[in-house]
Amino acid sequence: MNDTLALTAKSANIKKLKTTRSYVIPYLIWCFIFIAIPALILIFLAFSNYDFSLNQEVTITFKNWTYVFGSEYARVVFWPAIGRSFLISFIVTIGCLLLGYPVAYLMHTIKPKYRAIIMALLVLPLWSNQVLKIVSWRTIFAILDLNSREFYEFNIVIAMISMYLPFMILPIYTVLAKIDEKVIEASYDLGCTKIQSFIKVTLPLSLGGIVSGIIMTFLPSLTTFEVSDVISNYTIVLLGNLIYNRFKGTGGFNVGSVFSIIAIAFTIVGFVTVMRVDKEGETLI
Amino acid sequence: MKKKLLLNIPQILIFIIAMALIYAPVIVIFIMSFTNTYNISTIGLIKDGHLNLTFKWYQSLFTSDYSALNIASKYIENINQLKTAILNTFMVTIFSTLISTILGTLFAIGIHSFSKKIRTYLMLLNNMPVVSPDIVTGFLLLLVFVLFETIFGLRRGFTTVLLSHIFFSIPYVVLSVMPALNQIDPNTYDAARDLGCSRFSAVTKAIIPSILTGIITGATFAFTMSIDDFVITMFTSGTEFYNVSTWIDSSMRRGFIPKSVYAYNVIIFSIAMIVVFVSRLKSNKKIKELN
Repeated sequence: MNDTLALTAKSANIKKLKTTRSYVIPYLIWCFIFIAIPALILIFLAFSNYDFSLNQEVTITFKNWTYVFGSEYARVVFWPAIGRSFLISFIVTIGCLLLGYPVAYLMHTIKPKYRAIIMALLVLPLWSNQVLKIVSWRTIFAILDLNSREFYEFNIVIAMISMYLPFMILPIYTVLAKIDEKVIEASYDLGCTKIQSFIKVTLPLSLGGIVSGIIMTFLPSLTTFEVSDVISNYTIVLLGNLIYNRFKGTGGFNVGSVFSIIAIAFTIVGFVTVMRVDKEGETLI
Repeated sequence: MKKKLLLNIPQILIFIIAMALIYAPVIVIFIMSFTNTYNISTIGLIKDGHLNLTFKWYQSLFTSDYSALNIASKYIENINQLKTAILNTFMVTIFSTLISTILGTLFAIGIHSFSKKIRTYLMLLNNMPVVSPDIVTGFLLLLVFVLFETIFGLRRGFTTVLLSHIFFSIPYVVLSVMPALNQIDPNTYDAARDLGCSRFSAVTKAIIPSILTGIITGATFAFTMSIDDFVITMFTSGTEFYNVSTWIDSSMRRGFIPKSVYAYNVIIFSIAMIVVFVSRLKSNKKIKELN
């Protein structure tokens, strides 16, 4: 009797799996078309001279790579742009972390009623157009008489912090909200002071949110082109501008692909790091 | 706990700085939408304290007769373009939200029915576009569409922009629906089948109603991401199609942004504010009822 029941349950289970599992097939096809195919084209473009023109003799070459990393162009444009991008993204990320963690912590400790208000305050600016917000930052800097060459880097950092700060606060808050209050209480019972408890318990437990937040602010600031274009009046070149300028100009897809592969390499490092601390991707939304 | 918070001045100060940074451009947009001048000259006026307040930018969005609004004739063409941009934005956003919500929900249900190990791999695949910077996603999609153009003759425009918006929205829907799926009884589907539901109606009548909040969250994400998208649209739109963001960008490159777009932005922001406020009130009410 029990055996038959188990069998029925098993076959029912198989039936269930068969039907809803098949929903994944179109998803895989979709991902193949929009992730795998372009990735292959990208690699092909980076290692060839193909530029989408007809009747072209295609040769496999490392020319694009030597151009990006080892030519006069590399010395004058590429390496300075990479250095500048990293410096700016680094400062932006640190700034977001220093401002974002206390705000996330405040949200965690405050009354639920006020927490909801802060949450709404953080989400609402996403409804204001991002390009218009950057343009408005330029207006602000013009009003403050900061709209000149020597302040451009500083202005870019401020505008980026303003744009990416919510993406630091929200993942940290998500993780803080999951910490069991009893663990904190236990640390007090074991003789921790408030600061000790924070450093030894709360901070390590919120590390996943910090890592997600860092990646979610660092990657966009590393690859944005509109902030630097608008704020610096098209004078400051970052990694994002390198990619975008290739796409805008004609015949720049091969070198553009090399830049994209560099950006993807950073993305993969970031992605692997986030997935190590957050397998379900809960801190991503 | 409360007393400690009141005394924590540095924390409050940081909060104020953070909010000031986030809201400074939003406030500037609000002010600009009510001022009479066109562009950079406004700055001088703000400094001198002469602000000519006007509603004409708001009016310009709702009329095609600009004669009463005292807008220079050379800008009228731009305002008409903006209206096309707004229409394009809404067409893309509404369709991409609908399609990505449906597809994302079905994909999430599919992913959920696998064992934990395979599910982790599928979620890894799902999360890739979320972490990937817009410029990378945009460039990769552009490459696919160049290929499509070569093979099928599909020109870049509304269709390619819609496809790319669906592409970057689906992962957010999947991420929003997944926690809801984790919470429902794993036997929901079987129970519905036993009670005589067909395979498909077991999903539509039993699973979907129980994960509805997750689906709504996902749809909200899809809508928010799509209506504001700039970079990916920029890469995939070709030369003729534009949405509000890419239109602002190209206007700026020409050196002039008609103020009507500030008015549009304030309207959208206000609607979002009302929606958030009303849904907050509702959920507060629910919490009170539960208590």
